Amino acid sequence: MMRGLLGTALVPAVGTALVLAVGAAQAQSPETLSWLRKIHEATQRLSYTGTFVYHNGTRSETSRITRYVDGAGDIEKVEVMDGVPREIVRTKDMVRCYLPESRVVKVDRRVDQRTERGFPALVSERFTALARHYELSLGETRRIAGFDCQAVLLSPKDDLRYGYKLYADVKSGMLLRAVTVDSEGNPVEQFTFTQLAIGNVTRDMVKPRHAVRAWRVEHAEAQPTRLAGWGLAAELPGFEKVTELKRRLGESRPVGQMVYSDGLAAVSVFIEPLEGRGDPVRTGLASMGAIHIYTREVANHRVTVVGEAPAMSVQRIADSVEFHRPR
Amino acid sequence: MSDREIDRQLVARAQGGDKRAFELLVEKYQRKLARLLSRFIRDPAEVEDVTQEAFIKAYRALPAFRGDSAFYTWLYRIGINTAKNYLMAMGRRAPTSTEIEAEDAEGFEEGEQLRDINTPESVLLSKEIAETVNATIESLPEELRRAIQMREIEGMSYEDIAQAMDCPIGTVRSRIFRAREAIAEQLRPLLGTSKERRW
Amino acid sequence: MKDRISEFMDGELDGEAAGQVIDALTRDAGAREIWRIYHLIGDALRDNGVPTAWEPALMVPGRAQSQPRRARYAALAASLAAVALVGWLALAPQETAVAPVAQQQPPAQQQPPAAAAKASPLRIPLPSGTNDYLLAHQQFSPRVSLQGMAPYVRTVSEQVQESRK
Repeated sequence: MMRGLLGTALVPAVGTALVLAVGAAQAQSPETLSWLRKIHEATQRLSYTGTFVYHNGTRSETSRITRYVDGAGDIEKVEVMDGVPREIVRTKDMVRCYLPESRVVKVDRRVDQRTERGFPALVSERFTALARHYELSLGETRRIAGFDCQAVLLSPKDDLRYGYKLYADVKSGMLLRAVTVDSEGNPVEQFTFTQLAIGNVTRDMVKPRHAVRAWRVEHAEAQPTRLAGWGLAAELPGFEKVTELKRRLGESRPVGQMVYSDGLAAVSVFIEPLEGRGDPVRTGLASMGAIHIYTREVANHRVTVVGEAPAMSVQRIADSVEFHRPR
Repeated sequence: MSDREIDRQLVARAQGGDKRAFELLVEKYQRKLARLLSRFIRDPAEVEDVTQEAFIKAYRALPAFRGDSAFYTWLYRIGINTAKNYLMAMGRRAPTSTEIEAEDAEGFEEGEQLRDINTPESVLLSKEIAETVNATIESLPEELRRAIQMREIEGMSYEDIAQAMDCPIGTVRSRIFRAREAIAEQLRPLLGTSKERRW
Repeated sequence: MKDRISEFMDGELDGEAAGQVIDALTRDAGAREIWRIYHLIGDALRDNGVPTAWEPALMVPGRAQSQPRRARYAALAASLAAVALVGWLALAPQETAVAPVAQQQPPAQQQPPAAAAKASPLRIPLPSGTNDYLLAHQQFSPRVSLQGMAPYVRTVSEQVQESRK
């Protein structure tokens, strides 16, 4: 008995039923789509400081987030206050993750601008494509952290993906709460602001807390590339390849990465050569809230699939990874 | 002094402007109210929110509370109504009428800026607390355990407990206090202000 | 004072003595903490089988205004640091026993009816290097278009990382 977010039966398969569903979704979706655009624009336009809590069912963590905007661009900083201390700072070109306990900073250059946030037209197009796989509608209004929020509901049309409830400030579009729900409407993950102040951000508020002299620096060195011979035997409906690159993981392990997305959820396929080093590949599924990780061995490589989709979807993608030696 | 009298005194202080007195009532009843509302609302985060909202409404309506009913009865009605409104706004089925009082205890506007109450969200204490309490209880000397169970679970007065245990009332008072302190000592690290790496 | 609070909350104090306890409770944060813990104990003892035994947010009328901003955040963060959100997903089928040693209890593992078509997957602990995979993945998650950098906090304990470099 699969029920979507709104208590209506989900369309179980593609076909004529889907046409009707799409039609119905389109009747509602212009308003919902404009809400999604508004939410996206808020992430581009606003400066803010806030405290939010991330719940995933086995734990609960508080973080501070700050975003600073000026003529030169924007800088965003997230500092996690519980568990392992860590800080992530994103500038125009880079994402840096500071790990003071291990004295490591991981540096990732932002590589694929087309999937990044700076291109509103393309992002907007991506949101329109959402209506193919999610029923979009507006839910109730409620107050969160002192802001009047509108609920935007994305209810998946199949059980290959999660549903989402997004609560956005009616005035600014700022997302105050995001809940990921499974096919029974149970929350699997939630981000919620407990305090938020828009505006009044100075540049020093997004400076990293740590001086990284004598820390180990790990450069991802990501570059778009074709991973010759690698692909999926069968793509999961709705999940299209959005990027393909090679990079380093951890200290220096070279790895290929392919990312598949339906416009809202994303799944990464990591491919690492074994070459007789490292631990033997242990096949199976591990989970962390809404994120599932499936590992298996293909053609003497370790394949690790990481996805924000139900475990079954992550496993299906993992099982369909194949290698055909290029001629 | 009965339980109702305790609440009456706290309410009187709160109505006189002492916000801390209201806070004491919140601390006393929030879990009880949340347990009640969780019969209608499944998502714990939503139950939290609705419980919060109910307490905010109660606080704002406090000047109008005349003490005709017990405080918890009044709070309970507000809680049920808040949950009902929430469910209806969400398009879900509301609880049956046997659980809902016809009389509406509310009489104030929705959506006003709440500047006088600041509500931190999501302080969730969990199975860990319950398990610590129960484990400690099991390890207590029998007379302490019996005394606190009779008080908290069966709701017996000190006098009745004294009769049941065939001891002076002063002994009952002391046993209950010592049981509470023994459990509190185990709980304090879990509730402490130092950041603990739990995972 | 603790013993008087204990007595007062059981309704066994009267008149002036009770008034003194109420005075202390409304004026002294330490006394309020006692009240809080003692009531928590009572609720925990009476817990009658609701799937999650938990304590919702504490309403603090006016308190936040009297504390400087930083202290407020620290207090909130600190109180959250002490909790685990166990049992929240009593119905969720897909929790794995997480590798970090500090984990208190293995969550329930149930088979979701939806997965009947596929054989149930073999469960393994989170692989070492999970955080690196997560970090590499988050950049391409469309969630970032809606939430900014918040999803990046989804990582695991560093202990998982150590075995493979």
